[in-house]
Amino acid sequence: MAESIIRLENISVALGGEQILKDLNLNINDKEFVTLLGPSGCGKTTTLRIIGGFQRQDSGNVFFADEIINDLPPYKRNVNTVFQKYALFPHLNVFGNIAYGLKMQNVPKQVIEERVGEMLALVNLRGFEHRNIQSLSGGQQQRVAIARALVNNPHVLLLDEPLGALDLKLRKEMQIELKNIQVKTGITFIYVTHDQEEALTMSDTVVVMKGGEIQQIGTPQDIYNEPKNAFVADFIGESNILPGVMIEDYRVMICGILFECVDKGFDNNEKVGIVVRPEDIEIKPEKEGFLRGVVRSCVFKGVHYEMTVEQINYPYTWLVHSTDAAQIGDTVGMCFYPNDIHVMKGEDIDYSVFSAVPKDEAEETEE
Amino acid sequence: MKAFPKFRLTRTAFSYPYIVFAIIFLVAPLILVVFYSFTRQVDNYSVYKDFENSPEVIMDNLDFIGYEEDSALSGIGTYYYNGESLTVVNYREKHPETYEIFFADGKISLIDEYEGDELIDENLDNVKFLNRLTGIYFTIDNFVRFFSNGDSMKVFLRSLYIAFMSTVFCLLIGFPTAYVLSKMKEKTRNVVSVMFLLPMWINFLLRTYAWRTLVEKTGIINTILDSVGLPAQNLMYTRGAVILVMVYDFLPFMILPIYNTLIKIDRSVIEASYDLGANHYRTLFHVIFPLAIPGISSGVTMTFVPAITAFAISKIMGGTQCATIGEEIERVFNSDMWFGSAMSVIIMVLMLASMFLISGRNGDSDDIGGGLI
Ligand SMILES: Nc1ncnc2c1ncn2[C@@H]1O[C@H](COP(=O)(O)OP(=O)(O)O)[C@@H](O)[C@H]1O
Ligand SMILES: [Mg+2]
Repeated sequence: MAESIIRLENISVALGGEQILKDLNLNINDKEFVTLLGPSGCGKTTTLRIIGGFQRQDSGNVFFADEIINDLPPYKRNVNTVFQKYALFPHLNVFGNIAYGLKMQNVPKQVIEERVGEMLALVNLRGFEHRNIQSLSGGQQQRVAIARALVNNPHVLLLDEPLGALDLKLRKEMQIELKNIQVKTGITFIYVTHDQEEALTMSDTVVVMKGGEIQQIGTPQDIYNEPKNAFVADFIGESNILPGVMIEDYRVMICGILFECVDKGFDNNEKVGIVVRPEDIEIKPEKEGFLRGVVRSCVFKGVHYEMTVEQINYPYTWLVHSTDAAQIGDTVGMCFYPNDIHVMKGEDIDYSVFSAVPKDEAEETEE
Repeated sequence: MKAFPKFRLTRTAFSYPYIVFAIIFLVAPLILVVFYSFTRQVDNYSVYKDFENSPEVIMDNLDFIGYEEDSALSGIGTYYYNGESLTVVNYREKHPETYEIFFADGKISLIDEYEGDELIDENLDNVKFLNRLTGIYFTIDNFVRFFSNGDSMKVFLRSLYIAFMSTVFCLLIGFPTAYVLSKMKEKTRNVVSVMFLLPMWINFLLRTYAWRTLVEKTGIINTILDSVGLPAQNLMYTRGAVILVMVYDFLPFMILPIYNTLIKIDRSVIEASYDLGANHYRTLFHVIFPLAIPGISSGVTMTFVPAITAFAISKIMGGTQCATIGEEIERVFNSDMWFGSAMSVIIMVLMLASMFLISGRNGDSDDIGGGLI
């Protein structure tokens, strides 16, 4: 088992009379790439600020390598931050920004020059030493911010939506570069994003948050394939979420049909939520599918067609991703395999907010 | 036919009244002052006759510069200038002969063009009358006089010293105050900043006189010292008293611009500094102070400029020993507006140069904000 580097224990924070973090527990292992994922306002930045030492928790403890660091000011923590809006020093040039951390540690001038050179090479900004911060593009400023935070060789790097302001292409490039940097340097990355795709592609561990609470912690595969609840299922990729009944282990009733599945450990006849990913549904001729429905829309999305299929006899509209197009108005069959059915505890799921919406609502939105 | 150009009420139209205002009240007086500073009027006329040169020789050396109606002499006075002296040639109708009136080195010579006769009394009267109307000529004497005259230089250097010290004290008090203010919670901050601005609502002369009653020989401070058995202090009519009141009067002008830049500094930039291992002092020195420079420079200008030209404070608190350049200009202006103008032009150029230097040094960091209030 890898050793723990940062641990949050029962952290609670209230700001402006509002509970921002609720009894948060989180363990982060050394050399890991951990992503905090959640919608805007769910408390990701606040969590980072607590680790960085910029925000004091109301209760709970922060551990760094099993030592409590609650009272350690930011400048004494072996943690550096890439801030949400870069927060570069506007009065210093690229060199001055990157050298700042070393200068504060009274590193000799020669070593500073060497280290800054290394950092500039690491982030592909060689030759930019004397450039003004204001003259850099967003992507370049981002690289300077990363270099500035890495120059101190921190144990842990905190990144708060570092790619949020970049365009899609640049963002993809930077994702790969950041991941490479993390592997190369072996620094623990705690990465904040609200972009689920980013979280899945980059992370070793994803922490899904909502309303100041952790929803699920796991590898990207776990999070995607075995969402613990409807929120996670919906937030991570698109999903069809609908109610079902767990008849017994490995058997679940969906829309009046008994399916085989890979889940167990529920009570017999327990009401559950069912998640089926749109890309896991196969469109078949009418007779061959388990479920039947009428194609209501079919939109080309590049790799696949995105279809909505209105189920016959049930109030659900299914979202389907298929490489084959279907005619609007056609009645088709849909099928999926035991592996593709994800069962979760689901007494109080509000199904109306998810993709498999009841019929009448779907019609309303189409108009 | 061309359409009559329509007047359109655009946003720029609103600036026209101000431009007109600026021309009338700023540019015109400025031009006047600059004009005065480069001219002098001939004064202290005495009359003598030029016996050495013939009128033709005198006339050959002269350049025509203009003429003026002269009712008393009932003719046209024509002005000539040869680089050193001014000549007025007056063609009179009264006498058949024409006299030349020659001003040389501030003196006047009258020449009878035809006969070399001596002047009659009647003409002398007329010459005196002429003095009032004429005699403006271009010269750099006013400036030369300022720099060669030990007295005005001394006053000037003294004002520089007083203004400099006042600015330094304002900065030493103002920056920490602005910093503390900017760190306060919004509500307390508003209350405290009102307390700092409150004195500005009181007439500035009244404030100065209030200080006088405090530090006078029989004033409040000495009364208190006396009652405790300490010797009375001689505070009035010292440079210290002038600097004290200047610091008091100009402090808000230092605090406000600095405060304005400080509250605009991005909080995360300061956090970045802590994050990178700088403690509070180093962050203050390496990040906050450099980012506050636009505010500091406008604060310095806004205290230094009024401090160097102020004359009421030094007059009330400093007496004659502490006369500042502002006071000197005021005094000189009453008797010699040309010299006074030159003095104010020198101060003005100095101010502009120093402002240019201060703002030029951090011109490229304008976008951080700050600047004037
Ligand atoms: N200083 C503050 N005072 C009051 N509320 C705050 C403060 N900072 C953040 N919040 C609130 O806390 C919640 C979580 O903020 P944040 O951690 O920044 O979320 P995220 O980074 O996930 O978008 C938001 O609803 C935000 O409005
Ligand atoms: Mg955030």
